[in-house]
Amino acid sequence: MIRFVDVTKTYGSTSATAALESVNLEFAKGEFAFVTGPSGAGKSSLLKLVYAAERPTRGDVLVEGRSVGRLHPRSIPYLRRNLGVVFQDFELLPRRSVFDNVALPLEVCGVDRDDIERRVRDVLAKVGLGRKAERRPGELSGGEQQRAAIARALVNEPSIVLADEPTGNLDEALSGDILGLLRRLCDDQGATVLVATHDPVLLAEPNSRIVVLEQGRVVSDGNSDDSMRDEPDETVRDD
Amino acid sequence: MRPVRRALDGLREYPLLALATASTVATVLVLLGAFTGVILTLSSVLDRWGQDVQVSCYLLDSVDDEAIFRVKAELEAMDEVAAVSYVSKEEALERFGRAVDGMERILADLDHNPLPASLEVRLHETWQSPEEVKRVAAALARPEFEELDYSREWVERFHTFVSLMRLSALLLGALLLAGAVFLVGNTIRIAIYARRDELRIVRLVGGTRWFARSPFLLEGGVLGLLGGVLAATLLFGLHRYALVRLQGLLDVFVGADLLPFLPPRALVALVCAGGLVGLLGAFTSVMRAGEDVL
Repeated sequence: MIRFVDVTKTYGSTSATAALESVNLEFAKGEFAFVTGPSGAGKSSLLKLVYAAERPTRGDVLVEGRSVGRLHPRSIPYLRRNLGVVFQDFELLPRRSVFDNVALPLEVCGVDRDDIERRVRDVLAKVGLGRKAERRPGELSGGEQQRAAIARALVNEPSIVLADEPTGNLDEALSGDILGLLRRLCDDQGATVLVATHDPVLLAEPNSRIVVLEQGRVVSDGNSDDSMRDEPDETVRDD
Repeated sequence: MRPVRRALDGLREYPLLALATASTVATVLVLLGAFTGVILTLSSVLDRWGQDVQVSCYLLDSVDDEAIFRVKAELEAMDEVAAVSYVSKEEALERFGRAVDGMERILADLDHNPLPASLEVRLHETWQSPEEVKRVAAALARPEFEELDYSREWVERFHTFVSLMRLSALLLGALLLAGAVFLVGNTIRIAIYARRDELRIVRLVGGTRWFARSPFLLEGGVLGLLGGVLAATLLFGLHRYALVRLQGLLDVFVGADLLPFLPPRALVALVCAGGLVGLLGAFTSVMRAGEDVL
């Protein structure tokens, strides 16, 4: 589903420190995985390479068999339509209602009005925002805004969901809620879910794959039930 | 959040900027429309005066009546000639007296009539350009004539003047239109800048570049059309309340109905030109916006 083949990513001049270096990873269909590590470890870069906000400097990223590195710029929107992305700072349109925000991925695909109405209402009910569809993001709490962002990522029923620090601004209880939502998505829809986080609440989730990055390299890749307990990562604790 | 709604939202978000841009487009189009009106008027004056192009053939005093009628018949037989009329010495004196105030009394004091009799030759429309008039005048020459007068210089000057006006209107029009395109482009650039976060999000959820651009193009087009409608309304008002008052004055010099309002087709063209200017301005802006924005 998602494959990183010897991926190196540097920003600016080639002599700069690599954000990612020789990363080889594979995420299967329906897999739920955390990517963690200290700030600047390359977590966001890893996700950005999947939704083609960045291109690999070396190596390649394959998403459902398609090379992101060689993707024509005009094809990027079509790749993104199969992905749902949840951002740490929500990235909601402040002057639009929650409904409009969630409807946006369907609109760019040209889905008809009735279908949009039905699907947006469904997904908003699923994330518990059914009654706040007409509110603007500024009128919602942090947790509700994140739910709206998740609803937008799910409305297209994507086969891959990427979440970049989805609980970064939330308290422990809300973090648990958000994680539950993402987990249900993975179980119900069979979607591959990749969560970049250093939230210990999320990382404590049992039976999850955890990839640890440090200075752009994969330093650990295993199940939360074994590797994380066997090899406690100081950098994770630091965050 | 369809493109049309997004475009209208954009206009609502910065109403003053939208109004300023539409007004600028309107001003440019009013100037263009007014210029076109002036050119049309001058052309119609030229046409009208062109119909009056005639060659005055002044007869030598020594030429007798028989010779005069023979020459008149000869001239009337020419293809280029529409009509020939004889103006006697007495008639010429009378006309001259009428044309200049107070002249009648002065002329009455003269002991003899200094004005010659003449044949006034009116030409067919096809032979009224300055070059043709010159050629026909040469063909009209007869030994019985003392002098031929066909206001050659005046006709030529007027033709040159109107041609120059047309050329300068074209140049000025092109400059003004380019300025309007630039101004609309600037407004759209500001709108793009103000909504760059929104555009980034649209792109992140899978919107194509053209999906992101379409509201701005629509916005430019709507602003231009608004400008066009405003310009057409202003020109209509200008004609209705200002120019018709000048008509009386113009009647005296150039004849009636010389200030026709722009024909409906020209008005539609004006509105369409507004839309095009807006669209073009928006297009230049969206194409110049960086890859990271649009």
